[in-house]
Amino acid sequence: MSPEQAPRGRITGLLSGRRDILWGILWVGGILLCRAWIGLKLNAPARAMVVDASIHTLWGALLAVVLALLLGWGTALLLHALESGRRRTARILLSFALNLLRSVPQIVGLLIGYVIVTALTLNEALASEASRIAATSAVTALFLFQEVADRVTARIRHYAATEFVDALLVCGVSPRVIVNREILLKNSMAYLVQKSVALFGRAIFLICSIDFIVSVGLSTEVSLANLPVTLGSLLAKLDSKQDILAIGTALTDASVIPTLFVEHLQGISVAFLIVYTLLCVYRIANGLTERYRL
Amino acid sequence: MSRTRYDIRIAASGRVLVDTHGFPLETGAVTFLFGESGIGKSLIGKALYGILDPAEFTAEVNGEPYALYRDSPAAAAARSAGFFVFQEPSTHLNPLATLGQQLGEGTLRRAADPLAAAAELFPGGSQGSLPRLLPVYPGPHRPSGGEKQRLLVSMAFTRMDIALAAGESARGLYVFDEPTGSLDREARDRFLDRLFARFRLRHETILLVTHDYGMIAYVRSRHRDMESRFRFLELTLSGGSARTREFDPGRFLSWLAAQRHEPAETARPPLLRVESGISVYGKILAFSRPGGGRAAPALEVHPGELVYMKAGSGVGKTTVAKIVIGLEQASRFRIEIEGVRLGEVSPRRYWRRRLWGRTMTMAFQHADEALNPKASVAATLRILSRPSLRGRDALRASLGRLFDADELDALIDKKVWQLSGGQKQRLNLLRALALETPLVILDEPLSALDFESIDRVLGLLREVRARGRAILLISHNEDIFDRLVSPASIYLLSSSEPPAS
Repeated sequence: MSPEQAPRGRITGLLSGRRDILWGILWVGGILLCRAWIGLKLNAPARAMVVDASIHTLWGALLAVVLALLLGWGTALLLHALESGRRRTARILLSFALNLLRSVPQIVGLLIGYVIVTALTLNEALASEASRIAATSAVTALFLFQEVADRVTARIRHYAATEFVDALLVCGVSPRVIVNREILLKNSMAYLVQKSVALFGRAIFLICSIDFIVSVGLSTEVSLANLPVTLGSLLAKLDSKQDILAIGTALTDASVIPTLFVEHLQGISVAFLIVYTLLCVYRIANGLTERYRL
Repeated sequence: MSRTRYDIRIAASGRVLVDTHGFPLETGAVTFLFGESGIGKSLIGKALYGILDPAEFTAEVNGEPYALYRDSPAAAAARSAGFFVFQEPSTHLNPLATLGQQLGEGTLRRAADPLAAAAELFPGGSQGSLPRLLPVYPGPHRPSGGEKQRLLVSMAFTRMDIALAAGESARGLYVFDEPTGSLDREARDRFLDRLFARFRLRHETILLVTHDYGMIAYVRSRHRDMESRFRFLELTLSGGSARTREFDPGRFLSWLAAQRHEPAETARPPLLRVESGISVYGKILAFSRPGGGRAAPALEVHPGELVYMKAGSGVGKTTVAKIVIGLEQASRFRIEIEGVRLGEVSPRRYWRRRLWGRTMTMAFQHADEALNPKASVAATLRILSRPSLRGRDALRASLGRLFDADELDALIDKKVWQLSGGQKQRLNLLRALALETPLVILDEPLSALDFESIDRVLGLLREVRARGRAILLISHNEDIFDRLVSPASIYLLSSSEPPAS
């Protein structure tokens, strides 16, 4: 019997070579399990906080990725247009500006961005919770979009040297259609999806890190209490810190272990959600790389 | 001579690529395997020779796992006493060793003169252009495809010479996979002459994979005495997998004899005029006429005319076409399109705004590279935004010019990467012709096609011409186009070094 005829379980067959889907299922399953457990064992106010923090973090990260994609795609198109239009000076100026932004460490850039968000909150320019999430996502996207721009540029350059682009050009097809539809949509989707998944993980990490760092407050009037609660800021709360410290105690005193998942559930579940999500997103991105041989 | 029949089944990623029953391979005979590209000819050659990659393919030969066939004493002996010439010379040659080193490495080290066979294939022999190639490390652009191909087949010839000198019995299998794809007719004929000269001395088993049906005419006229040892097969696509059938060479020859010159249309002013003396990549390219006549005439293409530009491989036919279409920049050139004079200082945007898709277009040589593999067949044509291609019926009508009616429904929604090489080539041509521009440049329009498709394409070109459109052809299918194109519309391209100033 040849290998392609070998019997294979339905599920195993479906997931064979699709580790991204497997880890996606594991992620959703893990989150649902955690939700069910805290639904049973965590008190209502703490449970509501964990749920809100998760939703804010995931939505914030997702919005940051969408904004980074739009910004990165647009930047790459602009660079390509300047390059093919032989506008050298404009291209150099834009590249310089982008490199200047690239030279700012992400965490420092985000801190500066948060100061601006804080100032806007103080001025009541960002009145609603949604607008504050959007603003922090925009700040995050500003320090992620260049990765999208780099990837889009690499894809355009790769295909610009191929014959199918020349063949379409001499058929009178507009360069805009060739780049957006033929190169990026038809030939680069797997690359962009993989990059988006990886950026989603990065955005979660950045949002949680920065919220944890600024947990001491950015001004006397505005603190994390004014900004929407996220997994990072929830982790910085005193209750959560004590819960995390309990993990350390469990290392030397095994009798504490059973209490971890009942008495210290807030901090443990927040830490689990962050770490487990980052692990799964990392595995999904790797799975996509393997599946599409990127 | 003894004939062995093989049932060969090759699959990859769960998809059956070849499923041929009773493939006949005769020992001590030359088997010509014709057929369009991309349907499994090379895979059959590799399977029979025993070099199919087990990591990539799952195969069975005569109902048994491929490893059993590959490791059988008979297959191993045929392999060790034979040679495989790969289709793509670049994949066969080692970029880290000079060509001279590679001509005499491995089993070829036993040759008395490893360069002798190569010298037979290059004009001027060992005093001609061959010596300057020997110290070269093969790269993508140097030496040319034709030069690489000649060096590769010379290795197979050297292997034959070694066996002959050693007085070994003929037991080798020699597979030549598209050995003339990059050769002009003269070089191709020289290759065939040298191959059959050796074959006359020792009847090795030879499998010659090709889609150059023109070989039949040459073989019939120059090597008729060997006919009893020639087998002609054709691989065709049927129900999604490849099947082998006998090919009647007489069918091709009578078809070729029936081809008549298309009349030259020179009454109206030329649509395109290309002056001789194009300076590009340090070479000067000039035109001449087959019968001699005026030195360095300009190439002219009139409305409704079929013009054929030919040259040896690597001279620069495609380069000239790309200069005319505005994709390649030359140091000096003069062309006139619809009365507008253009040259090296003309802005590129003129081609983009005024000419591409309006006055002229081009079908590229390699359909594999000229089409977007991820686009569907429908999307490949719809992107042209022609009213005549709107709707499924219009697409069917357009595709029906080169495809069978019963395959259209399945074809329209297929992605380009799922098509065979021949199907891609037909789609490539249809896309260029669907624009109905006054001038279309076709670079190797018959490459990768089987006999039936060649006939259809030529019919379509006649139709296009009859509607007053002009065609500039580049092809090494001289057997066919020399019969089809009026001598008044044939131009020879040659290159020379610029005079020292």
